[in-house]
Amino acid sequence: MAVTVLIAVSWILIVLSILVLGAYAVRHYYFGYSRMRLKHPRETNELVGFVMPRVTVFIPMHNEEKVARDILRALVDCDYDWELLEVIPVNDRSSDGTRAIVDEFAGRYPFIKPYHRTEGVGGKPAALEEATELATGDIYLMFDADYVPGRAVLKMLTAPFVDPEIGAVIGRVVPHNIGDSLLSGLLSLERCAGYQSVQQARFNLGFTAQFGGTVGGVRAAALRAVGGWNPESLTEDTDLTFALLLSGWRTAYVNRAECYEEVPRDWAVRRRQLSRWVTGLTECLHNYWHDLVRARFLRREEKTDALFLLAMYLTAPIIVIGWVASLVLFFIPEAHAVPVLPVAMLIIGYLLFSNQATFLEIGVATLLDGTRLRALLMPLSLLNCFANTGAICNALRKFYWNRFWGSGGDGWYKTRRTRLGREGQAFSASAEATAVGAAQQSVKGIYYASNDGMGD
Amino acid sequence: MPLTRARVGIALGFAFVVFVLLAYFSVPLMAFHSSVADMLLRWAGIPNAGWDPVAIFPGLEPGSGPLVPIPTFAQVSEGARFALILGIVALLLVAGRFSLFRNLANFLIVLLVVSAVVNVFFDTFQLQSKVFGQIWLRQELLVWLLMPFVSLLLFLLPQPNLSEGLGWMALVQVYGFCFSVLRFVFCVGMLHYTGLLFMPLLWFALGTLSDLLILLFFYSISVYRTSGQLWGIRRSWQSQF
Repeated sequence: MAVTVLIAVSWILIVLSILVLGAYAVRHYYFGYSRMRLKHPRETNELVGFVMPRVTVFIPMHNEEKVARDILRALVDCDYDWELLEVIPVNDRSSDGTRAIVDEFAGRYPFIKPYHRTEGVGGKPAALEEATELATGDIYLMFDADYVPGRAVLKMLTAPFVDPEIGAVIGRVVPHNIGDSLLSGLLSLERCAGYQSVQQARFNLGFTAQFGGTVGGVRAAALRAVGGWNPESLTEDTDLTFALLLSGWRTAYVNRAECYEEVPRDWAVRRRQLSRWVTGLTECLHNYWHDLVRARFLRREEKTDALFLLAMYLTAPIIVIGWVASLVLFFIPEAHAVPVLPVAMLIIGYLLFSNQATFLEIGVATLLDGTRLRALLMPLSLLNCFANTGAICNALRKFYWNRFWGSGGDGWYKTRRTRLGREGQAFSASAEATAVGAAQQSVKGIYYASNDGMGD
Repeated sequence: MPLTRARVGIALGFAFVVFVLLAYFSVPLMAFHSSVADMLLRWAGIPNAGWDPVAIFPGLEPGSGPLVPIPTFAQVSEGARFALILGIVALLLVAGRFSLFRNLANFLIVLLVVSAVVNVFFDTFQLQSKVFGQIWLRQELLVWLLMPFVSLLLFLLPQPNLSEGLGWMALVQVYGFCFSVLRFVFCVGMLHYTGLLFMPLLWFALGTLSDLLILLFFYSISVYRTSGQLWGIRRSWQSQF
């Protein structure tokens, strides 16, 4: 009797996990093929340079001496009108040389207005919340300190705001340290699929793109309308995406607004980054799912996509449950009885089709980008999947444990930057230059330097 | 990459034709699988008393399973038990040293430990090679049947050149079949020499995960080849829509 129940429960768990993961796979294929059709209903690229609102650029910084100079130099070299530009490096209690670097730039360029924070709640959302009170722009753009914005990126990010429905905009993150380690190479594939395939597909299909505070912007009025940044959230950008969506604002994605990022090169850093994302996104799921389901002005597809996005990390424990149930069935001879063809077809079909779905997105993104050699890393992405699954399950366990017992949970963790001896080199060619093209050359410099091993 | 309705229709038609052909010739295909496996078993010196017919799926049968003696845990050699311990230690070392491999290694360790526990405490648990062959064929037959549709999505549609896409489709199908025979013979050999000690691990690593890896391997090469032809090489300041 007990064995029969165990077999039945295992089968139910397997079928349920197949259905859930299969639904995600369908979504991946839909996005992948949508990108391959190359249809773009919304296009604001023609407006780049014609839309020049007053802009405030925030750069949250915490011990960023290795990277601060690069991003400030890149922003100085941007082709945005300095009269309409305000850069606020938000120095959040740094204990290294960040303050000196920021002050040095502020002394030379009047539009750089540093905000040095010495006390208060830690973390990016809280720091942004305080710094926003000083901002005078109509549009707030923000970049992580390790990012290197391209020369025209400010114009590209502001162009979509010509549409009054657009409340926020996100640019594309391109890793520049691909050759640092196997992990950074694999993460570059992940980023490539996440932006080139998924974000662009969601935007093209009329779903809301996921706002990212790493390379993005928000309309000041929209931010005020939703009550500002949520300092409680570990992923304030995702929180803002859904706060805006539920208030009727859209988020635009600009694939051409590329910004060059340093992805984690070792697993310890990656695990903590992932843990923060899991906690933040799952928190958003709990905060917003009810309002999303009830929102009358959102289409059913939009709601479904938003819920899929917010529940994305819950797929990891579902995968593990499926594995455990399969293992149980393997050791029960009674379970080896002939399964009916449709069930067997479902299982094998799932294993073949669903597992390939995310790789299709990577493949499509690679095709669109033309990054040839990187495609060969794809089979190794399976390692990343295993590693991610474990880390996500662990983060979810902590999240629900803390939620159940009402404890505080993980605090803000800043992703460690290394830049591996390249600090300052990115802009060495244009150390004192504001000449047209200098920044672009420098950005190309680090991009190709990091790609040497990949041959791209 | 013009993904037109005509293109989708033609590709779907090809996939369906291959599927129907495979289903129609499934019995001779399985027989061929068994005869190649038999040849390899003999070549490897693994004793096989013959092949018994086994039920696969209604309408797609019979297949056949080998009659290879498989020892119980009590009959397994000391060397096999030592190999199990050695395997666990090696995986522990990998888990400790390579953080990216840690979760995979930990999962494989769990499989080995569970296998050892089941073997020690439930000595009566037995898996006949014929039944193993039956499970294997059920799985692989479905993989062969579904592979054309996977190829449709991964190789036929994304390829700008339809004939090249068909070439990839054929290559994956043939390679999948040949690789299945090799894996099957290896697993039967392991069953013969080590009983069920390594079976869950082998089933996980050499079962559908292997099929997945083959697909992924070929897909990455096809993307690599197509990428340069189709869109040109990426420049950092340039992002094609």
